[in-house]
Amino acid sequence: MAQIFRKSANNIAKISLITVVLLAGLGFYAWTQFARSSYLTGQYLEIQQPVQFSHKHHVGDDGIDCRYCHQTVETTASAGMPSTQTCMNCHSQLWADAPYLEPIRASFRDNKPIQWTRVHDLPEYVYFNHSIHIAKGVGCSTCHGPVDKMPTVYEENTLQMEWCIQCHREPEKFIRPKSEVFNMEYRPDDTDQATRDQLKVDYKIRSREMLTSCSTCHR
Amino acid sequence: MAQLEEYADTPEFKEFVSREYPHEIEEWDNSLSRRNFVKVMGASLALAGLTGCVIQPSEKIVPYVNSQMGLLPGKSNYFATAMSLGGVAVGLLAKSYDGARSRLRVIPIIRVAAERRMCSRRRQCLECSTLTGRKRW
Repeated sequence: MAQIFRKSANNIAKISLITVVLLAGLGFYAWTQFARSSYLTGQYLEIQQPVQFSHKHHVGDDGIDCRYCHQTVETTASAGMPSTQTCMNCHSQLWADAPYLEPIRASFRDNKPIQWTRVHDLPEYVYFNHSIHIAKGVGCSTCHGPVDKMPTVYEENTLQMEWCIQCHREPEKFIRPKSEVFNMEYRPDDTDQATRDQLKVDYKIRSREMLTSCSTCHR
Repeated sequence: MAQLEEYADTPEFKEFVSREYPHEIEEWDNSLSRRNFVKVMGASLALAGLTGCVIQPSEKIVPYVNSQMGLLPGKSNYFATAMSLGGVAVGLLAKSYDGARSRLRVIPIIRVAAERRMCSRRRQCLECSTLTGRKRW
């Protein structure tokens, strides 16, 4: 009976088998890196807002505390976006005629709210509560990065579940004393590990099993 | 097995069909077979799911223009108040959620030890039921 395949088919079959497996592996790895890329997560992307509010100026230079504008961060799930009135508290006196601030004055005058574009956008199926994180000693800059150095706000971290779970598994690596929560100058090395372990007990942070339980966030 | 023979469309099958179904032989048109139909519908259903693979569209945050005092986003505010129903003051518990979705509850009279009176209509009047949304007590 005539041979259907040439002799070289032996080698071709072996080589192609190995190549396909390698390519599949590489392709999978490339896919995982793409899934963590800035394109999909929006990390480090500076979002343009209707008013060019500079946190670097207001927080870094002027020293305004986070809570002056984001008033409900300690009490509710949402940190709260400042109302136009909050801006006008100062800007009715300071730079009151600056053309740069016209959108704010227009909003206050016409009673139309300013439409900010959300930078830290979690999907709808996730429940995130700011107040509990503040209460347990997670600092603002831990998740939001160095906001006092951002002329335009960008997302410092990917906000992917992988990143959240990283802390939920070992909170003692990321927490800080509650007095330092709103301190932008705080560095993780300022507290040693032993103190942080003690903080975990003092602040009654739950066990790893409870923190990484599904219904904690997926309600 | 008859499905395979039908797909192969052999002369033996054609002869079998002509003998088995003599009247339908002229109308036998297999252009849209069940197999093809299910194949196409299954593919459409699967590919329709691909519309979910989008980069998350950007959302807007729209705050108030004037700060609302005492308003906590996402938390309910309860107010103890009263209003007159049928000429008698009735205690009410008002719940306001984000300034909307308000509900009024009548504070049960039994808990108000000092006032043991009820509205003379015994809560059957229209005012009471429209206020609280309850049809009967």
